[in-house]
Amino acid sequence: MRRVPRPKALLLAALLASCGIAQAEEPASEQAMPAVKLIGELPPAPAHQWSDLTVDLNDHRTAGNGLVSAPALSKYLNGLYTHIKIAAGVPDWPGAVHISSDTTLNAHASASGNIYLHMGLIRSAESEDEIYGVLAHEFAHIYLNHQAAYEAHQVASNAVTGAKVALLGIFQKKLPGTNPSWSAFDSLALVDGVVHDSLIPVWQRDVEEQADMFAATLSLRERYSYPSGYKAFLERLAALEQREQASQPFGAPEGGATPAAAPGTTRKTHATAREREEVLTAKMLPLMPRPRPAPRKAPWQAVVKDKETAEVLAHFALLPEIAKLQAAGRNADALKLAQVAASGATAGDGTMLLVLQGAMKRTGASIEEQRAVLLRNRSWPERSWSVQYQAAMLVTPEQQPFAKEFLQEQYAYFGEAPRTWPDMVGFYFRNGDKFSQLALSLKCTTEARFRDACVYNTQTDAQRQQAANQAANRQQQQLNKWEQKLKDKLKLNQ
Amino acid sequence: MFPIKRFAAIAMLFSLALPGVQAADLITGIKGKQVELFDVADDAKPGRKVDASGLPWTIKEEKNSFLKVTLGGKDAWIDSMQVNVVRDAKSDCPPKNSTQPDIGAVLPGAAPSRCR
Repeated sequence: MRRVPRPKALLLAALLASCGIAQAEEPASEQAMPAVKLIGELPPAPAHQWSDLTVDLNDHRTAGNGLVSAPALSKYLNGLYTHIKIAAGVPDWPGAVHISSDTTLNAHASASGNIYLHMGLIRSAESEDEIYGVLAHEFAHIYLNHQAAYEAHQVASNAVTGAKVALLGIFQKKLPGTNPSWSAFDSLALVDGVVHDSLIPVWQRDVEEQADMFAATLSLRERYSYPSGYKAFLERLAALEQREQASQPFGAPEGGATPAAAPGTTRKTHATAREREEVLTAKMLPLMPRPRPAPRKAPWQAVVKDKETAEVLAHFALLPEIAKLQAAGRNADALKLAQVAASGATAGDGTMLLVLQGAMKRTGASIEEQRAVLLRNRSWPERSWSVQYQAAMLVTPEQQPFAKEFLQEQYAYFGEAPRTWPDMVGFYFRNGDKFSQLALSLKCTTEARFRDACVYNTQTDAQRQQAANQAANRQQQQLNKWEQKLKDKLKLNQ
Repeated sequence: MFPIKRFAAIAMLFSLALPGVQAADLITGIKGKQVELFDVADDAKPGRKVDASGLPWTIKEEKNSFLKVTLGGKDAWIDSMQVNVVRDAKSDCPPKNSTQPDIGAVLPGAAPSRCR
């Protein structure tokens, strides 16, 4: 199904180009990024610049609650990944599959060649075909060099921010049906929606569509079932979308409509799962082999029933139950369940220990008891930064020097990962260690992803409020300036 | 702990672990104007084309990419390529980690991020 370019999108593209914004697209086109044009054909693999595997792993161990240790499952997943690399003709490429503690139905890949499967996906999948399809989709991003182009597009996205502000003036006055009572903020949201939905995500949706076709190609080659495999995964996503839409309130929220924040927020970068499934299934239909490959449920069922893996999955399944008990004020029952969750195959797991520590806190456990639980993660195969950081927070004022020593030891263990910098800066700030704070704050200015978080963590509440006010003023001034500039340029000043 | 209680607790945990057994998957739409119904899970012989009415249809069984449903009191098989299916998904947003910025360092995932 081809999307017909919308006139609004074309107008915006022209406007952006006239402002010089579209120049930011150039780095992406300079990257070696082959395209998948048909299901059944793979383009030759382009040259790759691999990012550091250890740095990438540390980035993930310091994100969220870190990674999950499940040896049998990891071995199985890496076996599949090896087959995927062989099927794609690049058996020697680097990278491995890791299990992310993220409980959403998702997966992602990095430029190091690593693939991260989320616990939500692992808990939902019913066949090897499904897992293979998702791994193949993620591998497509690696194979097709999307990481490099994505970074370039992020740059483009930043540049587009300037144009959004400029476009605001036009949209406020020129869009038919625009509600005159909308505030500038609401209109900004509208512009944001139009620009993003029309330009940047078009590229990203194209990338996702190519990765979908790549996954379908490998699935066909390796005689995996498409209906029980990648199609099933997209159908699970569609179910989530349906749930989300059902939970959306009808009409606009009080205080003004923000169209860009409506259910479509999750559609900015990806087409809906239903759309993706429709497009891919239509393409797959004439290619389906006869007889159709039987789904490979047995190998997947065997690995998820492996004693240790089954326990990991069962303990993750307890998390919503614990949250429900806590929401109902049944903290003692939640604690009991949290103790089960943080036992056996997940006795030192980052997520389980943080949940247990939280449950202990609710039932009045001492900070020593809470800290002792968290420290179980130190000798666990997958150490989590969040757990170590939380342990360092659970100290009395007299214990601060030990906490600093402990945290610095952890900081070194995680390879001084940039993702830890905001935490470290905040820790130094709260403990009055000005020299360490300044040194790391300076370092943090070199890392765009965490710069703002580092600054935020070294501010008092009053300073944060003041900064927010200043930012709002600056935004208004910039908005006025750009609006005037664009009106002058387009002679709309009558 | 009393052994039976312990056994029950373990059984409960393992039942939570097994994927795909809790919620019935549903056919929520058809891709064409009509859908073919087959007597067996195979399309070697042409099926009977019918209009879709009474959706969603609960999937009772899945075999060779065909889905068994009961329509008008009779069992029939439908090619899964001809229909839209909504499947069980276990996806929960984790509690927000207030100490960390929400910044991705990698490509967007197979799905858009659902937790903000």
